[in-house]
Amino acid sequence: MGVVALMLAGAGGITGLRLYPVAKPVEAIALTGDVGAGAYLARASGCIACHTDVEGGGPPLAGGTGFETPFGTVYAANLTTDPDFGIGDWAIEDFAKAVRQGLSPDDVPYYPVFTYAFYQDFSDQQIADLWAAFQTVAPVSEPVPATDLAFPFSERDGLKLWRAAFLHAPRTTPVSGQSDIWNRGRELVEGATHCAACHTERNIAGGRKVDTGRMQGNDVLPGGSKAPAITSAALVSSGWDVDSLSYALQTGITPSGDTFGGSMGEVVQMGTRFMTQEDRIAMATYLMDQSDE
Amino acid sequence: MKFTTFTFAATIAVLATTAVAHKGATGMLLERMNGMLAMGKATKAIAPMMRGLEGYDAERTSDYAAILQAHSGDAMLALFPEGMNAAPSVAKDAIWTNWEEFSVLAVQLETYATALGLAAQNGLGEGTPAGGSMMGGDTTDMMGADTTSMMGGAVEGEKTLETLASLSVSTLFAQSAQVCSACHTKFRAEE
Repeated sequence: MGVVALMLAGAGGITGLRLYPVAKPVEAIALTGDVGAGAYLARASGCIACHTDVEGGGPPLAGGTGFETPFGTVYAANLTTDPDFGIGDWAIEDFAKAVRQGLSPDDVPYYPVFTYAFYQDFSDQQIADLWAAFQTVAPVSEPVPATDLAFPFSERDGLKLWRAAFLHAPRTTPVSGQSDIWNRGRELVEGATHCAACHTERNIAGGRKVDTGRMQGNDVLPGGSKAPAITSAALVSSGWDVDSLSYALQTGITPSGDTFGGSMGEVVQMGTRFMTQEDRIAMATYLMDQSDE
Repeated sequence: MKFTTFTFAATIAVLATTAVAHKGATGMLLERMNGMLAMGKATKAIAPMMRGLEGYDAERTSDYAAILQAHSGDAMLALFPEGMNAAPSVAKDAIWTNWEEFSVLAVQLETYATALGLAAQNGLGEGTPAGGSMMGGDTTDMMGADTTSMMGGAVEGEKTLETLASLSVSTLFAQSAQVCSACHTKFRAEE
């Protein structure tokens, strides 16, 4: 697929890329969603954290949060039910494609600041749950600022090449022989809660170094934040264990008695503190024993 | 200057301890940083008990609550005169551009600490229910409608001391820490 994409780029340039199809067919979803389960998944997945402009005092899920990347600034979209500025005129299938494939209703790729790569395995039921939850969000008729990226990054079709090279399947498949709690933790850490999005180093093109940098930290997050290494060994050497880590995902307290600030503070404040104790323990169990490496 | 450079380097180093980062601070800044350090040390010491790993001791809870009280609220705010955030301070300018929210958080911590002291004799309790009361099937909440309060807005500040003191010690401890984390998230530069 990567070779095909590159050939297309060489032959037809941007026009060719525009025509190059990346969308996979989306089956109709007729399932009934559970609002509570969807809201829970939205919390765990960071939808609310990223799509709420906390700094600017913006309403929930109205977007506008700016992510300053080396390529320019990308703003989180308005995900409220407003039909003009939000996703109010979408069908559930549009939503499914956006979440699982990172593509707009018109098949235009989203920038990978949106962590759809981790949501690729979401089931139809999970999509229906999320969709039901998003229907409860009040509309906000406010546009978000336009992305501010320099050429060629401003050309979203170029992302098709990026996807061919750097879009990896999430590592959510259960591992036989591991406990249910470990596999649940794996499903969350490698999927919904997308820990690796921040805690894995990225290459010059912004792709995750999944082979050499997995969970080994990233010093250049959007906005200048840093994420420490969270391999099992790194966590052990920083004084973490399953108990303290799961507790930190609830309270923010670190082994030193400090509490998280920065991006991780936001993750806990807006996300993991809403999760069940069982799920936080599952995440910690997996993180402290990422033994399938 | 050499010392200052060393201090700065220590501050940005991932493994720098807070104690090292505080070197070079003097006067009110030192007092402020020592206050934060005192709360952190006390939190580290008592966290295992709050997590149920050690036997519950009401007196330890009271002592801990007193430490938080002493360093929060007006006592904390008095140590943040406008613009006092030169290195080795990690305080953000946002503290002064958004003083109201910062103040609410400082006072909120004091309120939780006071409630924790009052609740100490109640025992540790069951611990925070799964997901916390904020979940409770209230989807409005889950979908972020209470963002303001979660990030220290007026809503949580309106909780009366009496209501808070009826909560379990483990819940109050967790919520105090969440206030610390909310404040660090918004107003402390990342090291």
